[in-house]
Amino acid sequence: MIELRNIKKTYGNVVALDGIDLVIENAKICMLLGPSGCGKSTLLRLINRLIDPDSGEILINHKSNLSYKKEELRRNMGYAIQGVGLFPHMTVGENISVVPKLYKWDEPRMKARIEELLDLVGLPIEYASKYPRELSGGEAQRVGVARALGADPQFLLMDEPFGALDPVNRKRLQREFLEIQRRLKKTVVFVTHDINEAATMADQLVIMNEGKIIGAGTPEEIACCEDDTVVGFLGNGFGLELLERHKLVDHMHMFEPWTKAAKFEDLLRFDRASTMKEIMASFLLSEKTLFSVEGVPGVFTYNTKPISELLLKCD
Amino acid sequence: MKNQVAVTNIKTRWVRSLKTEMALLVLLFVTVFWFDQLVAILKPLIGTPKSNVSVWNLGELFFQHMAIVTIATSASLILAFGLGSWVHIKRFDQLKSNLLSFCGFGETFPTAALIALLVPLLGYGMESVVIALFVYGLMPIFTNTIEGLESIPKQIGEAADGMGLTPIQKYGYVELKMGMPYILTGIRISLIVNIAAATIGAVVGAGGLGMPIMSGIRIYDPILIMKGALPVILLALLVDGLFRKMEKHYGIQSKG
Repeated sequence: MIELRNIKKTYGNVVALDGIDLVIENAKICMLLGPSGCGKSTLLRLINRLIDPDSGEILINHKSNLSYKKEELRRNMGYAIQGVGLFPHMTVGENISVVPKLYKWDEPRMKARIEELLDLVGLPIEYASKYPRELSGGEAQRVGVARALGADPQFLLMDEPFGALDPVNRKRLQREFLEIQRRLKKTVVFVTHDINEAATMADQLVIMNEGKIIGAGTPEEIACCEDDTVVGFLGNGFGLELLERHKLVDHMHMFEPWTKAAKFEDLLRFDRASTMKEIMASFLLSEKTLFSVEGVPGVFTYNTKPISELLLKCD
Repeated sequence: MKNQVAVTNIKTRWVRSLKTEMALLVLLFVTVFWFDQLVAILKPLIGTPKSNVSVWNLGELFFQHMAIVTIATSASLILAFGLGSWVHIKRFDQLKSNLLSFCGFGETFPTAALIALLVPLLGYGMESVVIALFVYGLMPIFTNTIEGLESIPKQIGEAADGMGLTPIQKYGYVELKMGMPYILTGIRISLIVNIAAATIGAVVGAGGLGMPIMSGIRIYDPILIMKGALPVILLALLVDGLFRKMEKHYGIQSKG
């Protein structure tokens, strides 16, 4: 658990953080969302002490982060950043095993860990001997995540880790990361300026502006927040973004099966990762009425009822 | 397995790219050990030397020269690289910038003047020259060591800190390897300057390839001058070529 109490940080005359109070629960993804320069990266870097606050207190597992040795604290907090920062003169395997090596793991254990992590992030084992320059952007980012998970830290700090990727790869990595998180249950602090990314991934969503937290809670709570600055930043369509959190395959019972014959070209086709937002957007833009889902037998008719049921009603 | 193939590829490519240096080495060897025979063969082209050039044993002078340069530059390498690494790891930024500006100033001081100043203190002979060259060798190695260690991109430095590397681990795992091309450049500059500057040593009785050059100037015998100058030129070219190849090799590695 990470607790921040009344954190203040200034750079010269600029107030970067102004009285931050925040509790990040174990095994949850906390997304820090806000415009550039709102202090979200500064906040992240305070947690692993890349910088120290002017005043206030940060508790890691109920103990002040000043009571840990800096290096020990950081080794228990995997760190992944935009542009990855992989070491160019080391192979993928060597990059992943930097922190295990600091912990003096033996060779077989390290080798097994490299294979396990590559498998986890969806890269073939042969990649262990490749150099970072031989990887595509998406692959490098996967290695970045694997390296952060290196010695199985309790925490993960991520600073726009998917920020440099194209939208397709970004979506794919977000989904894969959620899969990984479902298994590993790390305590994740994730900085982003992408509203959609925040809506998709957050267990806890923290909206920041000008060094202050202007809204915090579950994405559903945030969607119902009426604060002008929050609404101004998220826009009125934020409720729709939450449909991104629901997978189509989980809600198939809400659609009517189509029992008559259907031509292939009359269908819209979705895969197992498709979300409710995707199906809604696809049918808004199409005149078709039927669809099928990869791995689900049968053809279904589309109607908007399930969507409106999932959409949040704020009182 | 795949990795090994890639590594040997880099290695064989590196060796194969050394053709020019091999040729220079052969040429240097021939010049040093068969200079008199060469002069005899080329007599119709270059004429007869004014003096008896074979008085000078070029092999011996060459090894004296090498000894002066090697001892001086090795000593500067140990001190300058060690000092550079130390101020970097300990983050002594004030000391670092003071030393850097001192190096900038020191490089403007003429070598010959420094040697002349050292003679009254240390007397004639090898010591004055070795010490003068040692002092000169320090500066490029120190500046380039600092530059190399600071050359790593911000992101990579931050990743290293964020992963929990101590300054000394960061130095060993990342900075030293990525800064290696810069450090090699420093050593190269130092060596080249010292190979040429060591000829001045002849004036203060340190021996080396400066001896035939100085005598050649005194009696104006171009062939005698060449007897000292040619090996210096070839040696400088050879060292320069070798180090450039090494820098390139490490440059490729540090870019991944």
